[in-house]
Amino acid sequence: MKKNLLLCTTLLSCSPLVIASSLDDIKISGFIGVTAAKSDAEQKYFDLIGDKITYDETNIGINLSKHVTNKLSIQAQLFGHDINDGVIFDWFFASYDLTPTAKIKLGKLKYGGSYYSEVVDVGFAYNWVRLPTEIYGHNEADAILSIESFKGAAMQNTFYLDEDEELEFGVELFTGVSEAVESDEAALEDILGAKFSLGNDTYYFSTTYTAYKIEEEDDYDEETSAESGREELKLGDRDATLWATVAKAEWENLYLTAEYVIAEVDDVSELDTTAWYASAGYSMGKLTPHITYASFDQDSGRAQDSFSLGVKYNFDSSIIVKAQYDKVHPKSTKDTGEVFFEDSPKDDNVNIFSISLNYIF
Amino acid sequence: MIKSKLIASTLLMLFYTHMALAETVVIVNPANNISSIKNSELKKIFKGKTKAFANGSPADPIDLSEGSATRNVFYQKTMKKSPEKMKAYWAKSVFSGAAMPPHDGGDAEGVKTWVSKNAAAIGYIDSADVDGTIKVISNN
Repeated sequence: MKKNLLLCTTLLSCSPLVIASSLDDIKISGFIGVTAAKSDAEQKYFDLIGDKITYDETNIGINLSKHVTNKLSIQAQLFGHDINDGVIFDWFFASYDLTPTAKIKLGKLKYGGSYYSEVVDVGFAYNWVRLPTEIYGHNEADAILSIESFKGAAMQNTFYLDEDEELEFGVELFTGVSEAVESDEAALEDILGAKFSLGNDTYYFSTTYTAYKIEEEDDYDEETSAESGREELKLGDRDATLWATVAKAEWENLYLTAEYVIAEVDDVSELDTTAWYASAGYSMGKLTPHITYASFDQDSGRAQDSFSLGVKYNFDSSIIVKAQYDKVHPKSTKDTGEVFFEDSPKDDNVNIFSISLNYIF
Repeated sequence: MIKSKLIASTLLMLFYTHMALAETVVIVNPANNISSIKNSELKKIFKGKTKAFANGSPADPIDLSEGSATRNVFYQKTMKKSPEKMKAYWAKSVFSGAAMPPHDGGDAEGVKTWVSKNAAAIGYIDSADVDGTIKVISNN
């Protein structure tokens, strides 16, 4: 992975676009997350976490950015998490400031509907070891947030609603095509969305509505049925919608966060899904303990909820250490299909223990 | 006894006088014609939410290095955020591509040198470090 990363960085640095401008002006930053996790069930969670310690959630990202002019900037992020998967461009785009508060972005963009969906892999950006899986899943195939990134365009504008310019109202319109979901089973096309946000230093609220079209590969049905051992729904080409809402309040030491997501596929009511979580935390100097309840419920019968207790410790300004305990309660059976387990766990509840170290530079 | 108390009182007074005088000031290039800046505008510039002053001219912010006491005072006073919270804010902003952080100027000399050479620059330093190469603007 290191070789690939170096190769990609070198190639990017050697591109004519970059050579044409001063290398000194390129800002390089990055993140590294090392995560260890173990559960008390043989059946793996997300095909990753079982009864043996795994480090498979460990990842690295390198971010490159450059102001080409005062209004135009170019940014890219390389990301890798497994030596076999190599390094990918997580996202890359050119951003142009239309006004001091409005900009347009073109390229491969991260989906920004949920509060953390743009930084799912950046452990330094949140207090959990892993984001609530009921909403964020572990990759785009698992998650209710079926769109991880898309190639297209986004236009953002911010309006200040009061004289002191403390209260911000943001509007973002985006459109594009998503890369195929895992294993090339389906592509998400004609993505069209709108995000509205309102917030100040203490409160934040946003709601994002996204419509898209699922273009399914012909062999999806057979392949997935064979893999899961149960009959999968054949979707064909369908319209789908995703509606994500975020509410967050942050006082000096205390914060409360909640997210609610509804996903629907036209004429396939079995796939109508709701997922949500509510979380609270309290900062005590370098230590931030937090608590979370999350739920996933699909009309097909797939359902689970979980309860998490965690703590984040700011080792220094660039290093954080996190520990988390999750009690996951899968409500569905093998007949309806597990939500995130490969098979039905023997016990009603599965306990997962995780620790992580996150570093940014 | 009285003499030692007097010395102690004088030292204490000098210490508190220094604390009172030592404050963070916002600086721009001498060629910049703005004379004051609202706190909300300062917040927007240093959080990467705008790249322009209220009058429309470009704004290019520069920070003192991490760990600097003056930097911590500036962010606490302007944003009401601890260094840890600002770091988490930038982690989310940078790695989502939403915004880029201010330049890192190092120490006060580095910030002043950069501001004095860049017409769009805006920074902050301790008032004790002010000299004629930069212009102090009031922070309302």
